[in-house]
Amino acid sequence: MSDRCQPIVNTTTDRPPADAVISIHDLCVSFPGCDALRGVDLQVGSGMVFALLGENGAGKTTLIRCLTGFQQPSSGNCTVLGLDPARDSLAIRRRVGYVSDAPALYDWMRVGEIGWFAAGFYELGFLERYRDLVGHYQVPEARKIKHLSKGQRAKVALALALAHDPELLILDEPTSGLDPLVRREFLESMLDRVATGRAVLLSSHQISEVERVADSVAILHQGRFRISGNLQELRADTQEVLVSQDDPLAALPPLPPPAVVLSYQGEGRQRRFIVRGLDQAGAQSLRSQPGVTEVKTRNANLEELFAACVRGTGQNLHHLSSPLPSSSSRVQPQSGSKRS
Amino acid sequence: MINQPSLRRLWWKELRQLLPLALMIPMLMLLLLGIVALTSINQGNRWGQTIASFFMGLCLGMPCLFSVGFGGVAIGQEKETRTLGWLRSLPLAPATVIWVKLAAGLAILVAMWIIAIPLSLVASRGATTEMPWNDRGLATWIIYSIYILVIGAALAWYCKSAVVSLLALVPAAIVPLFTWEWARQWQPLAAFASDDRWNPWQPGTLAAFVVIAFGLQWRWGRRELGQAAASAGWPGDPSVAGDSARPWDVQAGYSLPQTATASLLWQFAKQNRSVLAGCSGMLLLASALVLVIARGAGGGGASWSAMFIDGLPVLIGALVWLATCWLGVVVFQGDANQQRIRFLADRGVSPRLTWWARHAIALPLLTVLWFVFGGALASVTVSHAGRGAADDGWLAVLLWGAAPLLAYLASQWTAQVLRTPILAAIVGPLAAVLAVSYMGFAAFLLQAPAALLVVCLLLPLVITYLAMPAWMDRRFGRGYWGIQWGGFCLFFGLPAIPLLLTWMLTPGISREVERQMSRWDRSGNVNYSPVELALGSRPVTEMILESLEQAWGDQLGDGPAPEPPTKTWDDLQAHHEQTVQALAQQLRRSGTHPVHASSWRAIEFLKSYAQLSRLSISDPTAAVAAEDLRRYRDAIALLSTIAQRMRGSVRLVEQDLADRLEIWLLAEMLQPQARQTVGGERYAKLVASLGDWQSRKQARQTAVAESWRSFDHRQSDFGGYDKDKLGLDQTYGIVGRSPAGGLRTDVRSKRMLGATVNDLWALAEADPHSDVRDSLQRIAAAWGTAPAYYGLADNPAYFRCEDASVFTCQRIDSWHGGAIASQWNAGWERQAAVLAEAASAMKADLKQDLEVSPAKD
Amino acid sequence: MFFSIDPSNGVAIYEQVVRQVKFAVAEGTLRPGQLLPSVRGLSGQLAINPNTIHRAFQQLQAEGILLSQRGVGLTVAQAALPLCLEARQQLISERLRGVLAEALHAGLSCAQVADLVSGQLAALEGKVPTVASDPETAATEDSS
Repeated sequence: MSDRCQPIVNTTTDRPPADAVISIHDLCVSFPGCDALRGVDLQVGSGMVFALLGENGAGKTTLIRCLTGFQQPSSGNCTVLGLDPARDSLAIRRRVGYVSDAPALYDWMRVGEIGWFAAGFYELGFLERYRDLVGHYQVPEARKIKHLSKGQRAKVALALALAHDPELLILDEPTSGLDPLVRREFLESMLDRVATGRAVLLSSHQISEVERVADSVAILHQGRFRISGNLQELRADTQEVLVSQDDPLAALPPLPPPAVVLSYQGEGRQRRFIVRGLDQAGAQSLRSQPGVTEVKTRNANLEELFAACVRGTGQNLHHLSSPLPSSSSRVQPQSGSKRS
Repeated sequence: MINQPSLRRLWWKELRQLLPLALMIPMLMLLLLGIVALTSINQGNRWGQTIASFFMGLCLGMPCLFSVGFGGVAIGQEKETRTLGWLRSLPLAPATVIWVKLAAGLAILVAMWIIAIPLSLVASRGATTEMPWNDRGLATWIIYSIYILVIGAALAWYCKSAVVSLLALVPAAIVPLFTWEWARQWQPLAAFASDDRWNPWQPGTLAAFVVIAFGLQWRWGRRELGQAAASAGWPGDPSVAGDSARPWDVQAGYSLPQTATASLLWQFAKQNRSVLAGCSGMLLLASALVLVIARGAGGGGASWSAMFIDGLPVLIGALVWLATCWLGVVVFQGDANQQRIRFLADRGVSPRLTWWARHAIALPLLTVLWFVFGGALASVTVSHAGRGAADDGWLAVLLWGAAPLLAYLASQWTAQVLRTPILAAIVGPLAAVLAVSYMGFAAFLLQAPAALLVVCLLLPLVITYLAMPAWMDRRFGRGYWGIQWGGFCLFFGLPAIPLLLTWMLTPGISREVERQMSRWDRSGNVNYSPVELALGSRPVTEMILESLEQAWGDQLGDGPAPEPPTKTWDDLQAHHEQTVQALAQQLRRSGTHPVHASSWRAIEFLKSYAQLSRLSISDPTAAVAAEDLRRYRDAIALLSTIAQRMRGSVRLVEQDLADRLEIWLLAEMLQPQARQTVGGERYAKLVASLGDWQSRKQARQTAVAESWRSFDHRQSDFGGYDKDKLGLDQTYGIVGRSPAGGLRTDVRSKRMLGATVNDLWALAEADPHSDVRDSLQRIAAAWGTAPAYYGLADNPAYFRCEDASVFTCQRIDSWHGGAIASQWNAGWERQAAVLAEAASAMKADLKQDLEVSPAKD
Repeated sequence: MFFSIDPSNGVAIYEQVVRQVKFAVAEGTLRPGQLLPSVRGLSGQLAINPNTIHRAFQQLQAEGILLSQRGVGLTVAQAALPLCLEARQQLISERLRGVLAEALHAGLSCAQVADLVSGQLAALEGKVPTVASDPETAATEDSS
């Protein structure tokens, strides 16, 4: 590894599509009985980590299967590395490294054997890189895979995915159930890819990990992106606001634009909001409300933002923020019972 | 203590788990039964009998097949999906789990037997050929299936994977037979074991084996469900120090880079080496057993019991069949196990390449093993298992080349469609039986052409190739199932296409003609009871035509062979006269019954008799001319009566015979001095009846209508003509005119005959002077003879004839070489009409002709 | 030097890196002319996106604390020390302001607050070693 500072390419998500590693436009996938994806737009460039967050069943795995050609979309199109997954799925899979949460490996092969076997499908150099990685991860080469622990299996799967130097690494909840050391290995490998200018698409539940490594984040809920954008900007923009009132029953006026309320909780004299886009003026207007004794704001972390996006949509939040023209990255309040 | 609800639920779970296996086997059996039913449409054919016997064996084997699969499905699969571990974590006693599983299996086995026994009875109605399994007795088979069930469960508990337990079941299933055989060889036990009571095929002895199996499965089940022993950790797991001490690549030589193809071949071979080795072993064992049969039959070497030798072909057949099918199953199920195929799919390995790599190992292995097996068979000189079935080259190719290939292909197709290995291992062989029997049905009965059959043979290969990308990606959507179902329909539908085309496109009898024929008045001809004129001296009985063989050649009854003539000239003359009197008496006594075609011998005798008499009349040196005259006149009288009585028959064969007789009579009447020779009145009557066009036409129409009606009903003969001798000049199917008849041939022959009847009816209805050449040409073409029209002219001197031998009548069926109705609307009828007109014009003069002495002219 | 990053404490990660570098320079852990670890190495060590680290380094470069040398990497600028000292002081004064605002908000009078401050100072005098490696492990929150 060189010690020179490597120049990093453009990290924002609004980049011209020609350079995009992944480009998805209005993707819809519907199964009989359920709509897995309902119109998803996405751009992932090289040299960045894009994280997909969502509950179980939100559609993350379906999206990834569309990218690798395992799933046919009902409508919309997507491009991976400039190729169409419907036609060139094999070519895509050869150039992409994919690690799933239960990787399929041949249990009867040894660690070295499986690398040697997989080397037959890639170009020269695979086996040396694989053995380097496996040695780096300290997985014994002569042991059969069925005798490996869960973390070692995941490392072998990761090594197999990285050994052919793919331009895009797709990780679908790879570290679920693994110990922190193995998770750390995964993170380091991921970041190493980014540092060399490759792209990584990470789908995960480990929000703390995502906060560390992601450039851009998208939260998938019920088949749509509730929020997507650069992580730092999102975090800077989102705040948790605690309002203390004299009168527990007094209602608060809606926050002035461009503030958008993502979630709301109230108990006794206190109200808790997760708000996006609350500026100084907005905070000041809140403080100046009659009956409001104290207003505390702090930046929300990703977990709170995630919970707000996913749970907050069940509430009727019309009365809490001024109506705005809807855009794809704003929360669409759903009809539901008002939480007191 | 287990409370009732949880026990019920455990029961429900076990039964539900066995359901796919329990349903698929009877379903395939019913499909097979359908094929058997279709083959027995041709009643009394030998293929139907063989197939029915075979099917009966299959019915008895159906519960055994379930027993074979039980262990893997109920226990082996649970081990692999780790649900057994979950079951152990529930508050259930291990004993409960073991016996509930076994009881569920036994319950379904009983249900299978309830289905199998009636099915086998249905099949046994058609099964007359003796097969080795027919005479073992039902009780033996029931106990044998129980034995396999229990020992299969025991092995499933013992072995680690379901596939290994299935392979291990094969030797375990034949252990009872072999132990008994070897016990007989061993001196101390020989006398004891020779006693038939200890025969393992006896229910009692087999029950003992069942008890042993029960004990084994109990013990191994308890061990499996109990605590894991300390020593049973990760067997063979080296310590960390051991890891670094054995650099694996140096040891195994893996450091060389490989191509994708080589990698895939290595992976398939190494992963499935147990199955490949097991199948090879089974085929090699079968070859060895064939040699054992050869030695045993030859009487040399060890003295195997006759029952052993008899049972061996079954065993060999089962081994060979299972090995071939399991080689096909492993092609896809080797990867479907635990979703291993996802490894290759995730990495974008080409599905086509994967498909090739799988078959590239299994198929050559199968070929080599079959060569070995075929070689063993070829070295068997004594036919012990019905090797004589391969009479002609076609059948040999079918049985020893196409059948194993089809079994392999059908199994690999089944393995792609089904999800679990055990189910595929059981259903695969059954599906292969279905495929092979359907191909046989298509070849022999549907008479599909060879090209179509080859396409169907290779169809499973094409289907799996096309479905491979979707299968590898596990994308079981419309595209994948469309391919599978489409292939299934093609496989069963393609061979039926020629039959359908024949059925749809061959023209048959027209509705108009049918309507006209059905309206034709048939009164007076309802009961056809012909009489045969016998030349011997035995009483005549009125007989009804019963079978095809009676139409030709043989007389209707048994009679003593005529004695060779030993008499002198005077006596011979008297003998002839006596015969003529006897014939006249028979004719008198039989009223107006029509004369049967088998009376041709009598007719020939009378014709010769008349000719001889006529020649001696015109001989000036003859002394007793008056006697000869009388004889001639008697003969002519009899012959004209016979001709008229034949006209009354409803069969076309008698109409044709009557035609020929009347042609002869006409020739006689055209002789010089015929009028004087025959006698005026008689001559007038005879000539009038010869010229009676109308009644002849009516008789013919009646004959056509009745012949078609009786053919429609009984399909045995057409108007007295053997329908198998109908001149169908095209052969169908790869075995030509198959002995079974074939559905396509049947359809076509009936249609062609119907088309011929159109022409016959038109011919019978036609005007005397109309041009009937087209009809005659078509009839002759359908009959397979060449039409000859020479002589058909306005000049009445010529008759129409095809074959000179017609008039010599050396063999009765030589004149059958002419087409049916070949003398209808012919020149002789016109000549007869002319003669009749001339005769009626001279009626007055005839009355004056009395007894004339013709020789004096 | 060792960094310690807490992604969920409210401060942006790159900002945490910036502050820790400044504090390290101010304390003397990082001497002028010392080479900083590479972005790649640092991202692997901290398990943080290299783009974030790059942004932090860019900002430090813009402020004149770090210097980019071709062929060598990023080094601490010679004139970095006073800048960092000033930055540290500013940060401490902000923290102090936050504490004092909280005290006033709680209802204490200025005099009481001043008493508390002097009392604490008196208690700590002479007991706190100077130039100690006191990394920002406690959450530096904007709001209390």
